[in-house]
Amino acid sequence: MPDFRFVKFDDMVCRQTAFGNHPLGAQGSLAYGGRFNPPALFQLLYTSLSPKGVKAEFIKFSKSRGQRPEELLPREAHQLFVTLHKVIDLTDSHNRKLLNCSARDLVGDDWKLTQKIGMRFNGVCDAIISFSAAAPKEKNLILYESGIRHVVILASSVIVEMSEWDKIITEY
Amino acid sequence: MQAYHHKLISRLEAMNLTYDQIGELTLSSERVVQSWLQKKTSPEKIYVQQLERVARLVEALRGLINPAYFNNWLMRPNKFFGKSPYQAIIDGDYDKLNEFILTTREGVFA
Repeated sequence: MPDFRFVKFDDMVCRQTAFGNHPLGAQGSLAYGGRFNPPALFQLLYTSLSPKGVKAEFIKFSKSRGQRPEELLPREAHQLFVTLHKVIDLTDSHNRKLLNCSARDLVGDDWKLTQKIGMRFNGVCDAIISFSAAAPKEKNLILYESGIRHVVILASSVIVEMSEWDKIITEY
Repeated sequence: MQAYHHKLISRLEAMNLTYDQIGELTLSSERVVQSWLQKKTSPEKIYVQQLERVARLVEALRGLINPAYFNNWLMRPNKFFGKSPYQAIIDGDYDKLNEFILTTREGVFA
């Protein structure tokens, strides 16, 4: 393994789900895959480092399906606390250089490279930090199963109107 | 006691689906659904299974979509399905419907 720079992570993250869904449910990512995991191999829990990021992810998710975000309300925004010892930070250019990938590759529509990266670090570390494809200034924390075990659920808030996201952004 | 298929039809009616739509979704017809309700005929097992499947799917979808938009959303062509969700149910696109339900529940990042 090349000389990757791993970091510790000890902070809050956010996630959004349908109303009444478990905050740590990742069966969808296991069954159908995601940016950093191919389908049916392993689950990943996709979270954002900021409520602003999770709002942007929610809007992008809705639009990618050709629907307005308000059609998917109510949703629940979850505030989670995560303590991890070994995280690969892909926003660090040193790590990207070793992986021969650019910041743009991490947020593009072609997931082959990112899924390959996800597979490479499965079993090696607890999570990945990457840029958000929904909001380039925001970052996401994507947790492997070993990382999900170190998540504490702090709070959940129901969002009935899109304007309520702003309240979450202020409160979280 | 209300027959099981009556209960399933009532569940679908409660979601503002018409007998015509229930007939279409269960691959029967409005007339057949009404004859089941009027106890003129009883549905064969395969239609009861289809009623169950449709009720389960529509309820799961309704749990994800804002009730104010649900009926319009159900009938409108949708990028994810490449057709309306209503048509996806008729066509038996169950993998796609399950993918939509699971990933929307969990808010999978795009």
